[in-house]
Amino acid sequence: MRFKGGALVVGALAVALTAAGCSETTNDDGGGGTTENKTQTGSISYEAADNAGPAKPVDGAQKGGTITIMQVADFEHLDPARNYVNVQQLTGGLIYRSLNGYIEDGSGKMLLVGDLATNPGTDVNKDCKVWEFKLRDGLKYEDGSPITSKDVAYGIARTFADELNEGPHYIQSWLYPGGAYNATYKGPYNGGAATPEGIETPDDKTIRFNFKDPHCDMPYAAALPTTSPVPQAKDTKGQYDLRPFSSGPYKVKTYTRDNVLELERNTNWDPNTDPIRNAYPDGFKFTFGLEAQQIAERLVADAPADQASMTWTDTPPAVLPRTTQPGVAERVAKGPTQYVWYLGVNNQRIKDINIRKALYYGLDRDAALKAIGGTSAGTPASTLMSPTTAGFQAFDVYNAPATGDPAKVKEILGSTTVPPLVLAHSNTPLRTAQAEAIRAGLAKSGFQVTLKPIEATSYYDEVGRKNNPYDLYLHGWGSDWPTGSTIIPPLYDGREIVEEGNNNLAYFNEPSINAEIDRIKGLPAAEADAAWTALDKRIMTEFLPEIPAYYDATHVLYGSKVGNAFLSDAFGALQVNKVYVKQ
Amino acid sequence: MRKTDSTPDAPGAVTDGTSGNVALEVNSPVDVPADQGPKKEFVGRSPGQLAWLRLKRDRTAAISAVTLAVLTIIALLAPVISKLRGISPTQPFTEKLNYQSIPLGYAGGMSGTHWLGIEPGNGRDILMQLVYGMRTSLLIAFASAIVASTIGVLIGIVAGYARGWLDAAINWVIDLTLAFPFLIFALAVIPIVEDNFFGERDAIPASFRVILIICTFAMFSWTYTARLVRGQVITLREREFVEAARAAGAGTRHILFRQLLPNIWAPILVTLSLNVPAFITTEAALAFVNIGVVEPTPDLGRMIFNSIPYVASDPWYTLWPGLTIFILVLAFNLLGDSLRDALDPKSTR
Repeated sequence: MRFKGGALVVGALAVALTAAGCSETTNDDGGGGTTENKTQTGSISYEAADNAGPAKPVDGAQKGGTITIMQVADFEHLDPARNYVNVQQLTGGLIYRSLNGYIEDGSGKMLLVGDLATNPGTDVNKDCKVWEFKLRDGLKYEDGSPITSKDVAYGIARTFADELNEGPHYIQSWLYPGGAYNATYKGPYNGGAATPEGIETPDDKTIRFNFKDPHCDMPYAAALPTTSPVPQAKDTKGQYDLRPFSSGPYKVKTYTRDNVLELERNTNWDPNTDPIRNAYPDGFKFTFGLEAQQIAERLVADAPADQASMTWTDTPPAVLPRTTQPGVAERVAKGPTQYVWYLGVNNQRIKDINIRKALYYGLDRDAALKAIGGTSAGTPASTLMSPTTAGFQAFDVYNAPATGDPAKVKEILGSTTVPPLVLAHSNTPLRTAQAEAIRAGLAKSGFQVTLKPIEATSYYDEVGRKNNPYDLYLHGWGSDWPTGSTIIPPLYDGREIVEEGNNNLAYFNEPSINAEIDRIKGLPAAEADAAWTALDKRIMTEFLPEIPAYYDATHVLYGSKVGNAFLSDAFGALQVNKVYVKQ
Repeated sequence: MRKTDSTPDAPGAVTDGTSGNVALEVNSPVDVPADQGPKKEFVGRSPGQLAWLRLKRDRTAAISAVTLAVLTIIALLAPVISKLRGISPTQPFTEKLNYQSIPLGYAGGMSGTHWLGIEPGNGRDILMQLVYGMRTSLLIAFASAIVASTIGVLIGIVAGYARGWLDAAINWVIDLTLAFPFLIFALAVIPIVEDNFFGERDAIPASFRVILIICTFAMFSWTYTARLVRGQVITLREREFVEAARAAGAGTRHILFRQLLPNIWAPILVTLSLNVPAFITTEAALAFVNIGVVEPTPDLGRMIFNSIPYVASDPWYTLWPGLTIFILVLAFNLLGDSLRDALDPKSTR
């Protein structure tokens, strides 16, 4: 009796040892292919066929069943005004609709079409300053009442409120240029106007945006949850997070924070009005509070109760080797995302570009990736923009080998002495292992690096302080829509540096680059894509403010009864609009 | 154990006139044949000598001691081993990992260069990580045990002898310390103290975290020794030899450290030897809540923590540090048990 537990553990280890001892670990990936970088062919479609509902049916898909999504942590926010995280936006997209949305089929082809709107927005004067959207007929909320353009305007208005400030602020700052987005207008609460200046709703089906400057990216910005309709009568302010009023195919059935969120069908949603969502399952169930390891092990095991489950949590490195075995390998979704990870260099401290160039060659990208799971976690990067960006062209200014080039570092530095460097990192096991790999790699080139662990929850707050005391920090950035305009300006426009909460973590401020950013922002979409790529190359060649480390990739598992699971290029995660439960 | 082997119906074994099985066995040298009994002279031995003889007879103790000696020597010689093998503990061999960062080759990358294979992820040599990690663990465990016991003995002996308000006050402090949740205290104090001593950019020397952990352990573990010593002192302080010393005009210090302390060495030594393995495991547990020894200082506990998820995909990585800590703790515990048996043969097991 007493040794039962002990014997079991020893037995399990013995079995594992025997199994592992017999087979050789090789570098052959079993034909699954490493993460290939597919260039996104995203475009805005005004074709009537693309913009008309219902969504194109998926071959072999059946209605019914419930998809379970296993997650480590609960969502921070589901309120459309506060929703700024990719998986939250995917979830939000099941409950509420925006003016625009993305149609994807898993082939890498992505179309931006009208969601609530009949098309992705009309540029009224052909100068990108006035945008008009017409709502579809037959749009209804979960209680059967009609969705009006006034609700869309109200939804945007409440994103100005101080207490709901976590969401994206593109449209807001375009409406009120110069200064903070809500410096003048603070939303409809406390007696504020119900509609921000510059938004007109001449009738219940039309909404018009009047900007002072040209913003040709408006169709993309309108795909963010900012433009989701919120009826004024249903606005519960801070409590709206827990129960957004449904305009999409599902509504909230139960929501217990940090535990479970259940969605059930919204019977008032008409598939004929929706070109994007198929909504095959009868419901979705999100379970929170699981360990990443536990999720991956359960999905590998594929027990009957977990067969209709999937996750957005990347497979931990320790489970990766087991995902190549038959029966599991075909239930893996992997590929690049829109995120790029940079070795941020604090330009306030490291002013000498030669030191930054030396760091570029000294960085062991291969080791940094292997510390977090190898090619499943990403591929070495040489550009500031992700390969998923529209108009992306691969280039490599410095041609550094993936494992670093200590000889080149010495050649660049010559007699320059590099001060001891402090590398801040988020204090999680994986990020710590990665920071140690980066430290060991830089040490090979003679850099003296000290590791500084920071609690994961306050990591970006700490490195986002303008006067932070660190030299190096790894940070990730993903575009909000696939053009350079949500990568280069937030990261490298020096005029946006503030005291706290910076995205420009290199603290890079160069007037000529700021001016070029302004010029490109005024270009029509087609020309802008190429111009952003050219600017990327120019920044890399002339300034090298920070060091692109690797292009992020995701590797997730799903159960054997989840049909049509593929990665959404718009969100860099498994999509939920077109999945179904295999009966 | 031998005790059960000597049956009462073998009278030849009883040679030196002392009574009781244990004392009898200990006092009879093995190489003296039974029939030479009449020639044997009575040998006087101190309690310490008796205990040492008993310990020497204990095969478990011998094996444990040799194991520990070997492991300690390996740990102490870590830099020499590193030099001989030409591999440093933090040197990454990422080129020997496959695309999923699992060691290439057989059995977790075991080879002539890497005798125990390499770590997945960072690609460090497991043997060097183990040797250096063991050094960190043993240092922390030994230092904490010695510091904790010293504090415990001093406080315990004073409390036991003092009576009155001092005894009550010390007892109250002991109760308070025992009631304090150790892990919560460690979680709160270790990061704060570090921030207090070092600026945001300072490299915190590895030794500082080690000393901090030792201090935290010592702060919480002296209570057990103190209680034990206090109890022992209370039973001894009314004995005749203490009275005699007092009557002869001995000072308090003399009575405490020359009369009482030598009589309670045995239980102190036993607690000390049993504290060491407890600290080894607790130190490993700290790694699980992220307040143990930090990268890049090698540490056995953190290595175990990092290796556990790999039990299914690279079991060799889990096996080596797990086996090491298992052997270390088992050997220490067995040695502690044997020590107790030897020092106090009356105690039942």
